[in-house]
Amino acid sequence: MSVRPSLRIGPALIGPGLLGVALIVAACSGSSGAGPAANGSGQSATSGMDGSSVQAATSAEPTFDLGALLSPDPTPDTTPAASPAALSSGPQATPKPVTTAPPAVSTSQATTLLSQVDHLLNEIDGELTNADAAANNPGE
Amino acid sequence: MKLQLSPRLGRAAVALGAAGLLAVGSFSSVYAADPAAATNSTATTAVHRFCIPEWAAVKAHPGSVDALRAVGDCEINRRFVTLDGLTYLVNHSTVLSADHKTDLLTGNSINPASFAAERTGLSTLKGTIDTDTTVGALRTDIAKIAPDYRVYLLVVPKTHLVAAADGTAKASARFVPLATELQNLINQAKAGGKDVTAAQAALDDMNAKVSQANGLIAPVAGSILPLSPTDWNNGIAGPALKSARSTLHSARALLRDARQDAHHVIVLLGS
Repeated sequence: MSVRPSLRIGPALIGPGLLGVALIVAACSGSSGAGPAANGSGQSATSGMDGSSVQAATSAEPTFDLGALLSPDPTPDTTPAASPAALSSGPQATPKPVTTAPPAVSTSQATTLLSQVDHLLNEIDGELTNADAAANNPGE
Repeated sequence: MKLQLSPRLGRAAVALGAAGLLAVGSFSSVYAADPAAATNSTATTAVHRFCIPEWAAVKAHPGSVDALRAVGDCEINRRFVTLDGLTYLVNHSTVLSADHKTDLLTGNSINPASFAAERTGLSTLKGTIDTDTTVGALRTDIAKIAPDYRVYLLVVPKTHLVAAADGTAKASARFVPLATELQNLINQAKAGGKDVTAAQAALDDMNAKVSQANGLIAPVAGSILPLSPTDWNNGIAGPALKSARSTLHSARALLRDARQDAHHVIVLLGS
């Protein structure tokens, strides 16, 4: 459940306010994407094509609904959220096809067998070293 | 005369002494045999040492029967110590086959220079030397110690080469389940849509190298086990041992490359 206090602005402030808000929206749209998820706030926002927004808040942190400020009737608390179906009605960018790599097979058994081979190869090295030393021994 | 050492030199001397004791301890631990296996070792020494003082005494007193006898006893004793060490190694080897252990230890009608045969012959010779009373007889008997037994030129390298051959065969056999496992993994990866061309090529190369190594090592043990001290004296055993050693090095190199192939397959499939 989210706590969403409303920010209400008087008519005299709407003109300059809209300009400021427009600048903020422009800045936010340029950096939308990984921002909310990356900072771990637990919120994500999806902007609809009509300027509305869908909040999927998971914390009680107060937020200011910029989309609601731009709407003709700034009563975001009573405006039902847009359904996902409504969001998908407009044109959308075609998602890139995701190429999934084949799952890697488990090589643990093979690695174990290889380590056994390594152990024996070390044993051979020891015996060959001894044989080399014996061959180079000037004894009788 | 007063000997004074600086503190630094003193510490260095202590360290060298400790290192020397450790070295002697490790050497004797290898060549001091199992208590049960040390059947023919004399009680005088269980640590291998060269007979330099005894030979120096003979040089100083060439006509001394006691000095010559001491040389004979020392030379035979150090061969006992070596045979005890080899016995320990064979008994505790993880690569020698059971048959080859028996061949090396007792001869098993295949190996004329088994540890048992060498010990028996050297014990008899020691008894003769201990009862010799003339310098001439002692010189004749002492001269038999090396050529009649060839402990260092034949028995020691033969033991290590047979062990290396068995170890190579054992390692080669380990590649069989490894190859099966890798082929299964390749088949799984291929069924999952992965390009396994490089992995299959590496596995095929591994199998070819293992097969080549098998062909090399198969006759090695059988070719050197029958070698006798006489074969060494006739110039047969030396080249045979050298050839066996070279063959085993080649087989080892092939298995090393095969191992790299296997590792390459695992890396390719695991990525």
